[in-house]
Amino acid sequence: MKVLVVDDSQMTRMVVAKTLRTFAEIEVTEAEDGRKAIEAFAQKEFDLVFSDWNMPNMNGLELLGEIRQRNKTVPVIMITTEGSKDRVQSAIALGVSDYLLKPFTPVALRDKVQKWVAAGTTAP
Amino acid sequence: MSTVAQLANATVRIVNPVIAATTEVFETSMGYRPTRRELGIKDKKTPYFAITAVIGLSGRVTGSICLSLPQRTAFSAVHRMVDLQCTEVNQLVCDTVGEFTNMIAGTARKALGELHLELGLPNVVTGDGHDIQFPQKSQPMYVTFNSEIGPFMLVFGFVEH
Repeated sequence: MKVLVVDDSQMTRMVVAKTLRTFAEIEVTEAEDGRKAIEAFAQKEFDLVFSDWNMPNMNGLELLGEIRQRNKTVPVIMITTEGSKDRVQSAIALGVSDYLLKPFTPVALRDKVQKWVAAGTTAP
Repeated sequence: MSTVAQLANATVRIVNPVIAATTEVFETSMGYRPTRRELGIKDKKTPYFAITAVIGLSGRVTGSICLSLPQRTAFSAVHRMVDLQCTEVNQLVCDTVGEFTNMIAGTARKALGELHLELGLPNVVTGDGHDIQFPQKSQPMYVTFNSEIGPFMLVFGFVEH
């Protein structure tokens, strides 16, 4: 399974990658911003994308738009402190599959992976 | 005489959500609850620790939240999160302090929904004797904590429009 983790925080990328590797055989690619994420997307296909929302240069929603132009079905999960119902709903309307609130536990991260690997598409 | 009751309303309004957010972030990320110690008015008698991350928030009030840690607390946080032993203040250490500040501010923001706050991106300042500027007429407050990884401090100051 191939997972792309996009976050400007090195710590968050490392925590997500480390946690993912503890409960599944997962190949993790890390990207520190939207541009690097798009480059990674051009080089290989991913089964799942975790992306930060609030990033410099290109935010998570802008990245989502770029990803959806290239792949309409890969599940994209926003990792964010953004818990406002309105904003989450508008993000889902734009094509976000799901979201994971920061701070998160390893169990919460595992549950998201299991849910979306089982689903296999962007549809909830 | 300055007392907490005389502080700008905007800052006082932030106190409890920020303390609750800090507890939640540490408990969820590292598995323990920090213990709150002192709460007071920030002045020169309460200097920042060696590493401070600051994040701006704006909406119906404007201000900043800072998380300040001694080096050893920051090193312990990195070790706890990703099992790496740091001996100097490097990019990962600064990023960790910045990300914790981001999570505290984001969590507090949810509890302060009526203020319609937007978060900026965290900036990190290091070195002894540094200072952080808050909006004019805000009265910054500090809260100190003890934790399994060492002491740390929050500082925040806000003004209403």
